[in-house]
Formats: sequence, C-alpha cells, structure tokens
Amino acid sequence: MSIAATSFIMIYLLTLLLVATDMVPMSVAALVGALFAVWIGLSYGVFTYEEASSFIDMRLIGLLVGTMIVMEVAYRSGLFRLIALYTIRVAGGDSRTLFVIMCITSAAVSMFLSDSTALLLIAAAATTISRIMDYDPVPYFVSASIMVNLGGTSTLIGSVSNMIIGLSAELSFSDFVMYLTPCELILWVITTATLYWFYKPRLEGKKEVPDYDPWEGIENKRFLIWSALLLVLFLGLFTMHDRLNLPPEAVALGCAILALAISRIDPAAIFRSIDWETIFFLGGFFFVVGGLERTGILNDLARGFMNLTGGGTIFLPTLLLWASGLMSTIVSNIAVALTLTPMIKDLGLKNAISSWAALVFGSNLGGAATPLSGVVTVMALGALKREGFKISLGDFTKAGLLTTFIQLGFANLYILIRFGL
Amino acid sequence: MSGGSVRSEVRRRFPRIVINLTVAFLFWIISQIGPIFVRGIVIPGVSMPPPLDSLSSIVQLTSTLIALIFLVRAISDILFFVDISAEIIVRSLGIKERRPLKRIARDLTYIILTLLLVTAASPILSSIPQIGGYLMAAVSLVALGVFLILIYDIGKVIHEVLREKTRKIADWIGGLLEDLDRRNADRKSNKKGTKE
Repeated sequence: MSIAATSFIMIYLLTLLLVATDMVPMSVAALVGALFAVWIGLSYGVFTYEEASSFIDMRLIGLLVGTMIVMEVAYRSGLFRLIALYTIRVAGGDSRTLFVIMCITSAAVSMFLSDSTALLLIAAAATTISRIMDYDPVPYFVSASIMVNLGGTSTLIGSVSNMIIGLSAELSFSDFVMYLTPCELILWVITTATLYWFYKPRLEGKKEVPDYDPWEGIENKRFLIWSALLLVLFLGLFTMHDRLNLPPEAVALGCAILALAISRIDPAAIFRSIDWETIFFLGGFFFVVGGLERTGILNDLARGFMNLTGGGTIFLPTLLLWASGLMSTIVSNIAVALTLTPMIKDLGLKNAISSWAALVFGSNLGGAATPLSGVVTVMALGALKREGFKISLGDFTKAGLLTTFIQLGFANLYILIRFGL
Repeated sequence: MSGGSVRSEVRRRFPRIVINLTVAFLFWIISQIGPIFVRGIVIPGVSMPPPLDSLSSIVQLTSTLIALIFLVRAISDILFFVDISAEIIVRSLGIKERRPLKRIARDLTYIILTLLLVTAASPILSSIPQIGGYLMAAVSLVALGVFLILIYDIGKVIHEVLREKTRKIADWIGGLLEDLDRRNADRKSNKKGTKE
C-alpha cells in the first residue's frame, strides 16, 4: 500500500476518532480531515487542486440548505406546534394513547423535517405535555428520539444521509416512497409496539386534560396558512420532480426563495438557524472521502465486498445493511453514507436498488442505538437534562439497541422479500 | 502521586539505578575484555560441548548474564520514572481522560495526528536545501518519541483494566472459597451437634 493510501486511511480514522472522542466539534473534525487530505493529496500527487475543488457536491449542499430554509419558515409559522397541540387534545389525557400518538407523530414529522428540527419540535411538545399532565417525560423523550430517527428513513429529504444516497444513486422522491415506505410504515408499528411494551410500566393512566387553545400563541394566521400551502407545494413538487425534469435541489432552493419571500422574517435570522455544523461537516468529509476514492482504497473495498458476497441480491444487501447499521451506531450516519455511496457505485451493479435500500436503512436505523449514536439522541438527552430529568446512558442504550436490532432485522427481511427473492 | 513522595522515590531509586547500571556496564566490559585474557584455556573436568568447554566462553557467558541481571534491576527502577514522564507528557498533550476506552481512543487520535503531521511535513522539510535532511531526521525522532510514549500509555491503560478485572475475579473466587469453607464448617458443627 502506498504512503498516500495509508495516509488517507489514517486521515479517515483521525476524523472519526476526533468526532467519537468529542475532542472537537463534528464540523471541526471533518475540516481537520479535509486540511490533511488536501495537504497530503497535493504533496503526494494524489489529485490536483482543481480535482480537489470538485470533491464538494454542491447539489447536495443546495438541497440541504433549501430544505432547511423551507422547514425553518414552516416551523416559525407555528404550523408544527399547532399539529402537536391538537395531537394532545385527540389523545384525551390518556398517557398510553398519547404515547402511541406521539411515537407516530414523531416519525411522521421527521419524514419531512430534518432530524434535529423534528426533535426540537417533538421535545417542545413533550415538555408541554409532561408539564400540563404531570407525566414522567423519560419514555416520551427517548421514544421520540428513536421514532424521529426512524421517520427520516423513507423520504429523500428525511435525513442528510438520504439526500447523499438519493442524489448519488439518482433516486427520486417517489422512488424512496415506492421502495422504502411500505417497510417504513410496518417499522413504525413494530417500533411503537416495542417501545410501548418497554415503557408500559412507566406510563401512567388517564388524567384530565386542562383546557387550552391550540391556536393560542399563533401571531400571524395568514403566515401560517401560507406556510402550510408552501409545504404542500414543496412536497408536491418533490413527488413529481422527476416527471417535471426538475432536479431535487432546484425544487428545494426554489421553494426556499419563495419561503423567504412570503415569510417577511429577517432572512439573517433564518440563515442563522441553518445547521451550519452539518454543512461544514459534509464539506470537510467530502475531501476525506474524495481522497480515499482517488487512492483506490474504496474500489478495493468494493471488490472485496463483491468477492465476499458474489454481488447478488441476497448476501450483498444483507452485508451492507448490517455493516452500515453497526457503523452508524458508532459513527455519524452522514459519514457512513458518504463512505459507502462511492463504494456501491464502484461495484458496477446492473440492479443496485437493493444495495441502495440496504444502505438507506442501515445508515439511518443505526443512528439511535446509543445516546451517542446521533444528533437526535444527544439532543433528546440534552432536552431531558434541561427539564431536570436524568437518564443513564445504560437505560437509553437498552431501549435504543433493542429497537435498532429489531428494525435492522425487519429491514433485512423486507429487502430479501422485496428485492432478493 | 504527590510532590513529596516523588522526591522520596527519586532519593530511593536514583542511586539504585546508577549503581545497577554501573555494575551492568562493568560486567559488560568484562564480558568483552575478559575472554581475551583467558583465550585457549580449557577447564579440566568440565564436560560441556564446545565452545562452552573453554574458560573464555564461560567468562563471557557468566559476565553477560550478570550484566543482564543488573540491567533488568536498573530497568525496573527506570520504568518508575518512565511512568511519571509519560504521564506528564500525556497530560501536557491534553489527555486527562480516566475512562479506559476513551483514553485509548484519544491516545490513538494523537498517534495518528503525529504520524500525519510528519507525513505532511516531510516533502516540505526535505526540500529545504542543506538542513532539510537533518530537520526531517529531528522531526521523525520527536514523532517516534511521542508515538512510543502514547503506545506505552495505551499499554498502561490495558494493564490497569486487566489488573482491575483479575482483582475482581480473584475476589469472586476468594468469596466462593470462603462460602465453601463456611458451609463445610457449618456442616461439621451440625454433625457434631446431632452426635452430642
């Protein structure tokens, strides 16, 4: 193995270790990796400066920024809060019904919102519920983070890793819905049932719901209605973007411009709320993976995968699903998606949909196994801490690992039935 | 370890290191020079296969062995100072983590960082005319030093974990044996009671 190849493996490991050990924020870790990648890549002639500049996928950044702006505007209109408050009313004060509704709502909201925004919303609702109803918030917060992580799996815009895989594999919004949603819906039921069984002893009985108006606090009803219409347009265009011959990032950025125009909110405030941490992480990690790709390591790894599995529709997706799932329990799912996407492309499969589906499931589902597996779980624990409740890492891991293994197991079965047999 | 206890350890171990190293060095010199003076002399009555039947071989072998024994004794004291200096260097690098897995991960991070820095800097350093080679050698030596210290720290962490685990296992086995002894004693006293 050449010095450059060994160095790029070390750069990759360094980035992951910097993230895993919390020595620096996630974005800084990826940027340090990028610095070494460019430095060593140029010094050892792995790539030229022009080639290095092409590593950043601007389409993905566009899709990400556009979606974040649209969802931020919808969030500020109070639309999602309104939905959450109506949900409590529908549950009628029964903590168990509320628990089930909350699980399903978390997953549903996360289909369209980024995981962190969805969790912020659900955490706000859970806090309101536990305060109003005097419930133990732990089951709600832990379950919400697991369901938010699950919910992002089935749409192109549900998670950053899906955007990476979708753009790379040229999967449209409707492809995601067609291939993944059936499994996703069953997983919602299975995971909710598992969490319900797990937390049943901690859920209290029925209590009287205090009288409140869900519309209270909505300052601008017109803005809310416009936001709802914009969201419908956004989702409509996403469902038809391949028929309209519009790339997904064009839909996202177009709707983002519309959202900024109708919201009349200071755009600087909206731009500040964009998740720059994730964007810079992506930007940095593109160089790390780009360098790895240039050294031929990913190609060798792909060939190894092919030799090991024979490249069929049974063993290869199974291996990819479990490898990416287990990797995501430790490493950020964005990093997993960015690493394995070029590898699957290198496999040169005629029908790669089962492999892409395996990667989507694996990289997403592993993200809520432990409290440190992903942003949502860290945020859920942080929100609980702010509320004055502590949950041990072990307690979270029990629920997280249990649901992750059930989800991965079922996803494996689905892939085998849907694509393999 | 407190400053006072370090001072007393230095007072106790330093003379031992000097003496042991000096004796080891003396015997090494003997092992090199001694055989020259007794070359060709065969010890009567010693039935060893050649070359061990000659006095020069026996002098060389025994003095080397003695030198090694003193060297090992010196090393056991030196290790104490290596431990302290490694701890100081590791702490100055910002690794204060107590949890074993995280500490090992941080050590590994610094090892990779050091290696990458040297790899990245080597084309630049070696291109400097005249002093490039020396600079490269110096940087490589420093990197090797940091690398060794961090690897040693990883070894220490693993050693500590294993010691803790084996202590727990030993406690558990000890508890089991005590239980067994107690049960046997109870059984005996019960038998005695029924006989009486």
